[in-house]
Amino acid sequence: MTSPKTGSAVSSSGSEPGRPPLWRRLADPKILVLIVGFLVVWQLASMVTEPYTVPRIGDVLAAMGTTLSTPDELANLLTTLARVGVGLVVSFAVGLGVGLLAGTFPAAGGYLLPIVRFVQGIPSLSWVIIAVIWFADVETRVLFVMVLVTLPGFALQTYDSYRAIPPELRDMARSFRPTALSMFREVTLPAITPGLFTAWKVNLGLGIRMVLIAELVGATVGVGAQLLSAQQLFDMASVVSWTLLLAFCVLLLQALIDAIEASALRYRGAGRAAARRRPAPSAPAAAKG
Amino acid sequence: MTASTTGPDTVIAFDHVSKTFPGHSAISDLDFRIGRGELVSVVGVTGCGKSTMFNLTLGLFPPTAGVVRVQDHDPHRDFEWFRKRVAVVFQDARLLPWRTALQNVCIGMKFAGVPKPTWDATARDWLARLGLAGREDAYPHQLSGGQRQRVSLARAFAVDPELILCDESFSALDEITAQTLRAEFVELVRAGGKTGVVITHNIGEALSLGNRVLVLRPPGHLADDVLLPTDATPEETAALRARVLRAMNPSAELDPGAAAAPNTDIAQAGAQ
Ligand SMILES: Nc1ncnc2c1ncn2[C@@H]1O[C@H](COP(=O)(O)OP(=O)(O)O)[C@@H](O)[C@H]1O
Ligand SMILES: [Mg+2]
Repeated sequence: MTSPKTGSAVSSSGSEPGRPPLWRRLADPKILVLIVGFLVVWQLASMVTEPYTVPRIGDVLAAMGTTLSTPDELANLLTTLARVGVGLVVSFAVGLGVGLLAGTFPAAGGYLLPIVRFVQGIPSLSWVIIAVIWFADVETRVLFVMVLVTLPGFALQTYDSYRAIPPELRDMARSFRPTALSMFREVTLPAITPGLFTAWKVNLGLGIRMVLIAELVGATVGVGAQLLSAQQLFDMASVVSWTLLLAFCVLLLQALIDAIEASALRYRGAGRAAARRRPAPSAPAAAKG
Repeated sequence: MTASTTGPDTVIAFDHVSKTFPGHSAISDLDFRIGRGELVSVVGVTGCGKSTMFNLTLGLFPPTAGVVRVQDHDPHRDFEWFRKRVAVVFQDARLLPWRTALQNVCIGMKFAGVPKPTWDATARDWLARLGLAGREDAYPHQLSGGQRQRVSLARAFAVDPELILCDESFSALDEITAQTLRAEFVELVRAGGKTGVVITHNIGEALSLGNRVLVLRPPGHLADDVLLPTDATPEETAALRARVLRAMNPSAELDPGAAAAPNTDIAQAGAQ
């Protein structure tokens, strides 16, 4: 709250710092009611339908247990997660560069941003088809799809966060004549960090959804490939088991990002209650030029 | 005041300087010198180009016409040369919200290229001198407006600059806090043998702060240059106040009350 502008720019992006951790959210009675209700409905439905329509809870749990305890099976899950991880890291590196470039040099931004926005508007499935035609190698295909689908989010979020840095703060820093590196490390990077976390959370969900589609075409290892073969065998228990395993992994990863974010942005929470009690900067501020 | 060369004792020299932003002129034909060890106030109605004059002094952008020399260097071209030689205190403290008070002071030194081993002790020392001992680890949002401005004063003084600029640094604070900080600032500038330039829109502050008042009038040219006597009688002060007000805004003469009011603010004087 150095100035009204500074305060708002820093809190404009990123999630609420006061958001409780995952385990606390799971302990919410409403969540428990939902889970129990879901299991009851599932159990009842599985009793009146064929296993290939609604599998039994026990079968799904057994499939999950097998997956987690068989290295060859587990490799599918880990491979998919690794593909998401590599894709997001590459995309993040490129997106960060593109966003900073566009923010620092408006001339470059004038060319880069329209391209990024255009790419963002292309349906993900089109990228999958293009990847199949262009690349024979499965890993290249998946990486290509992952990067093109998540890059716009990283680039645009970086750009927007960069643009939101208050010029007053930059002028203050520049008045001390910092090196470009000091300026980046002390002002630019901390100022865009909340936006970067937002981009990571959005892109994690997007990446997981996309990787399965990319894996449907040509992959022999990975959750997508397993889902495809389960579908061909009408093995609904496996379909549900793989889906749930992946969904749990996403929850865990989101919790991990939340934890890193909370730690990186803990300055915001420091003495929060005390700060709220204090009145805003004195009134004459409104009269100045 | 119109000599086109700068002597060894000239710290700031504006030589027929103009600055035009797209569409309008912020500074036009501004011409003045400020000497070593001077403590000069700059007054003028809002929007008359005071901050732009500071930004030119800092070299944040070049002038459209004319020459700006600071310590005989071009502040825009020789930007790096001024590292550790100049520091600014802005109206809003402009602290980094993700850094504590102590770290904010250290970062000024880091930016200015002060060797790292001295940061911590210097920062603690300046925070203590500005009455913030014990608040080193507070984040900006945990400090009051006055305390934040103290941190920004500490940040500026910690790099030990030869020239220190204040842009309405005390005007967002309540009058008691402002008076205390103003007095501390004057004391620190004088004790450190520094040159100080202080923008203010409080005429009382301008008349009591330093040895000289520069009066700007839109669009950014010098309307008056008032040397202040060391021991002014109340009558002299009243006369000087009237002179500054008149220079700032010639139409203020129409309002006889304005010059007589003890704490006339430029905001009011310029409002009519
Ligand atoms: N970066 C800028 N771009 C465009 N116009 C500006 C900029 N900075 C200042 N101005 C304009 O220049 C004039 C002088 O502004 P400023 O120097 O901030 O005045 P003061 O500090 O005396 O209130 C104003 O009309 C202001 O709108
Ligand atoms: Mg100003």
